[in-house]
Amino acid sequence: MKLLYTTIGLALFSTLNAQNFDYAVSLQEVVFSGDDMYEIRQDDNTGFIDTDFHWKADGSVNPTAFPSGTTISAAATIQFECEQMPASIYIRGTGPDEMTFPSLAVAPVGDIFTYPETPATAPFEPETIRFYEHFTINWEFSFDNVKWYTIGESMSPVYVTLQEAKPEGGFSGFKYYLTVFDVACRNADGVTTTDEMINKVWEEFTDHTVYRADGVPMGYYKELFSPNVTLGTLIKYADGECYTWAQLFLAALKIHGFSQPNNYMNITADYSSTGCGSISRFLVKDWTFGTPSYDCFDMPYLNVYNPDYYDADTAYIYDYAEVTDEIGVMGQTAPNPASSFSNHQIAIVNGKYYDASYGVLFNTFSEIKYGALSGWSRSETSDEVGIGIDVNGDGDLDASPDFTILRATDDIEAADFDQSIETW
Amino acid sequence: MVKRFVFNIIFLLLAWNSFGQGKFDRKIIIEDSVFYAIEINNQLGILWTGNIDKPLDSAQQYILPVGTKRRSIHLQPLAWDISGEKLYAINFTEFSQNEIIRNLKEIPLDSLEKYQPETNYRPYFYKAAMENNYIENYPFVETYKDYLYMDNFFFDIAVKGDSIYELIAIDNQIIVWYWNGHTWYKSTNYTFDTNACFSTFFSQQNLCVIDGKGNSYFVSDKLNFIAQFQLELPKTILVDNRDNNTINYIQATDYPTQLSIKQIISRNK
Repeated sequence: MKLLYTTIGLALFSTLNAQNFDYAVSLQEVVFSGDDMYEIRQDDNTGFIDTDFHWKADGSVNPTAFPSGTTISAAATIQFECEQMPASIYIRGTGPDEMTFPSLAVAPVGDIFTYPETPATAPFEPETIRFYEHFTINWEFSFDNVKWYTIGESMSPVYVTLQEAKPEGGFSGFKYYLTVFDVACRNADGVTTTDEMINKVWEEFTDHTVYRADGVPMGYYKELFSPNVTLGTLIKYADGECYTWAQLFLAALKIHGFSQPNNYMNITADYSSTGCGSISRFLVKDWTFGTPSYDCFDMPYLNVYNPDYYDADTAYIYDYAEVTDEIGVMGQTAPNPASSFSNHQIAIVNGKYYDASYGVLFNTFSEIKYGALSGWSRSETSDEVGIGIDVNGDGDLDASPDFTILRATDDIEAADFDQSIETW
Repeated sequence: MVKRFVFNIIFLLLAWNSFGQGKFDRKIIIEDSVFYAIEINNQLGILWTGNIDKPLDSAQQYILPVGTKRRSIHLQPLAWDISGEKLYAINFTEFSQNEIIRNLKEIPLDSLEKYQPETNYRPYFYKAAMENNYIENYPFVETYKDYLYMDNFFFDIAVKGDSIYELIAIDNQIIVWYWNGHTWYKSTNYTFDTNACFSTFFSQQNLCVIDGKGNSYFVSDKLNFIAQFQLELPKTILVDNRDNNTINYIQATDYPTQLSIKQIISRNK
């Protein structure tokens, strides 16, 4: 899908009178290039963003991106209408931050003058992140290289990364999605150090609203059982599991050239043994623990899953519940995201634990348990006879059908988290 | 209860060839002139099965309630095998409802649902987490307890009747776990290359292992070196032909689907 920014561009026409003849001049198209220019992927994962043009007179634009310290080149197409076409004119462009595109004499082909691909006179500032929402170039022409006339302005988004981005990963891993550039650069514009970059990018996650490049806020379990578990699917569908959020944060750092080994942590319950079996799951705040049935002493609370449990969109469905999900820790664009898990993923950066799903930073591993949990749980298969509860209310205990139950305890000390760490 | 297990397996020569193209994960099994191969799509497995003499295009495709994630550092192909009328696999998808203790799956082949390009993946992630639980995967739980860093964590399974062999390699060691239908048994730690994934399989009655560099072993009370073959995993997948008891290897790239498995293999001999 071609990305179109319809709010920016305007066709600019100037009608001038000089050298005793009338003419109209208009900027038609601007194309950026450069050896270091990134190939940006479409957020819907259908391919790469068009590099055939970056600004067009009809208002459409395509964003582009470069590493800091590198040089952007530009080419421009100008339409010149007059009765007597000049043999040549001079064209130049003045961009931001002293990046100008020097005066060149160009000859027409028909009524079109093409300013050839030309590097800017200055590179992007080294070691500096920039987000040019409108990278504006004022294009001018001259007959004599002395007196200059305005042609028009081109404006399109340009992202500049702190360092050269890490290479893309294989399969569904790190990719140069537009939104990764946007999250990484929009929120760290002007930053010049890695530490500051990490802090600024992280700040975007702490207000629980992280936007896709097109302005759509991305969610953490907007859908209670989101199947989106990769960076690409988070961005495409603007919703995803914890895996995706840890990946998005790490991806935003990788775009700036920063990556560390052992940065992607999987947290599980430690399978502590209890009289009710091993603890394999956990409940993230907040869950209300009601009156326990004590079907099993060590994990006294019990819920029975509804057969359509997995079809739930926004709230868990139980046929019988002694533990109830409440609004607790807010997730990304989700006041009450999914909170009954078997595992969770967070990012590790410089020894700190960044839980991007919730926008919470933990300084130590042990803080996670005490900061995030309501209790521990396990799931297993049973029936009314097994749990001694008349779930369907028919007045007796049935030996069938089987159903899935959740046993829970609010004793936070009943288990611990285990961590396993990979490199993402 | 975990007991040390001694493998008494006799060495047998294996027939190796290196050829072909393929887009499947880890291996192709041939049995009764029918092939079974698994493609990973959006982390979930798609089982291809069909006559070995007919084009791949004509194969049936079934979506599996099991799959594997694609890691950043090393590929871990789906660990799977077929024994009798059941498919065994270790679910390794990224999904927040997965429990490693319940990730060893036994899936009746006749329970599989046809795959269509428009198939909604969502319920299959959940099925992969919650259904077809076979036995508690104690080898996984112990490995996760014992190791913190998992970039070079690899595993595979081989199934023979009620016996399951689950091999887990990490930090230049491999452990052979054996389920006899009642109890998990554990071998000693053997020195083993863990720079890439490995594959395990039966060659006739012998449990064998090949590491990422092509070093092959058979398992007894130790790893017995057989030979080094000129191949690398996961760039190569295994063809386990149970009709003629041969093991071959083909390149893990896209197959020309107008060809049959038999043609693909024979073209590369």
